[in-house]
Amino acid sequence: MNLTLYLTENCNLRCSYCTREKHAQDMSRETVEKAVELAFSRGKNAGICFFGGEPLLKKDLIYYALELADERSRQTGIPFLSKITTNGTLIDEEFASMAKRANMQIGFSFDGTMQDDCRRTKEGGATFDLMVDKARLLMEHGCDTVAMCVASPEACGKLFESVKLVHDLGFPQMIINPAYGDKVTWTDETFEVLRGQFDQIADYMMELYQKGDKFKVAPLHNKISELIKGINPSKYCHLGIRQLAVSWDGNLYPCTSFLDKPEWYLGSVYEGIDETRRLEMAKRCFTPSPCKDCDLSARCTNSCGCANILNTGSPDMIAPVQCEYERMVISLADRLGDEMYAMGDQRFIDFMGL
Amino acid sequence: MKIDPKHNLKKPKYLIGVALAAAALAAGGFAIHEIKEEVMEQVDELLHTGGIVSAEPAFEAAEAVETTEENA
Ligand code: SF4
Ligand code: SF4
Repeated sequence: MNLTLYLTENCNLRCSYCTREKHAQDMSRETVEKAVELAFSRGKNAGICFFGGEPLLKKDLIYYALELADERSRQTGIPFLSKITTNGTLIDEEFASMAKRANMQIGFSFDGTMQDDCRRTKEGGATFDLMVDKARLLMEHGCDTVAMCVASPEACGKLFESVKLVHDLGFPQMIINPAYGDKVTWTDETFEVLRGQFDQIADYMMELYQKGDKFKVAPLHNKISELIKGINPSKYCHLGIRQLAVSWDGNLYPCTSFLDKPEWYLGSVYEGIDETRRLEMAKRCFTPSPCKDCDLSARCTNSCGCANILNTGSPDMIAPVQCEYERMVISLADRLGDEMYAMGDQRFIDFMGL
Repeated sequence: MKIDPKHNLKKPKYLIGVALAAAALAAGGFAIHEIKEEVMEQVDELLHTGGIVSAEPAFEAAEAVETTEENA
């Protein structure tokens, strides 16, 4: 099964939109051992995503978990996949070589030219130049990396130039997410700025496509491919079913926004998964009521409990900004999809990975 | 910004094109580019009738044909 491990509640950055409280609390080696055991205890695959806080503050625990998982994988024949979501600032040669060897998927949180607006160190220091160096290091090592970029209301006027920078640094793909949560306020004006930036990004993707460049930007690219493949993005994690989050002390929760919320407790790596609660959760319908008869319901992230909790405090209530964002992105993706398809279907089919 | 559920949206052209291409592939083993004309003729009608919701059934059909051929 897939687990997301909160190796630490600590972080060396203080991003303006971050919703996590920072504490000096780290996972113990014993909890790591139990978590690896749990990952291999059921299902045909075992997966661990290292998360935090900043997981690279605990590199020793990452290397330890990988060593244990490698051994378990050899003993059981169960394939193992590792991922990390990192702010990137602590990446070094040793980590990059290891990530390459272990086929680790790296989610590299980098806001491009918006980096210093939002992602500064604890002491308030800039991180942009450092991040450009780290990006180059990952590219040189050929690591499987996706750049993850958060667009905040204050800085989103630089989103398009950030996308171009990420492309020019050599990343094959990137994911854009709007900043959500109680530290962020979107207004009609700032949302219009975001819309204008996305328009330019869609045009840029078309320009690259015409040149045969395979750079992919989610959510535009995946809104097209998911529609064709009949994948419903809201059903990806399906709270607590496809993956579980493990807090630093070993407790289990459905996903990242639910940590430390006792009403979402699902057991622990020591006592096992509380299957009754997990089943109850799976049976609950998380589709927000306005979305039930919307034509876009199966294409939109309306039932992502995590995003909904961040935005509205409730897992089954959608926020206006999220609805606005989803409609904007889907309509742009469809415009882009039609333009790409018009250039020849075989090429389109290849690009979409069908 | 508002919550604004959408109704009676048209299906995008690329979806219908790809779905028809896959369906035709499943049915007759045509190369996709060979059926493009035929596909396009049917697009307008499908846009109105909304006959295809997702390409998934077409891909499943294509896979079933491939599996049968492999097993034969
Ligand atoms: S790097 Fe991640 S955990 Fe650290 S402050 Fe930024 S968003 Fe929060
Ligand atoms: S577009 Fe809006 S109303 Fe429709 S499913 Fe998405 S969030 Fe719900």
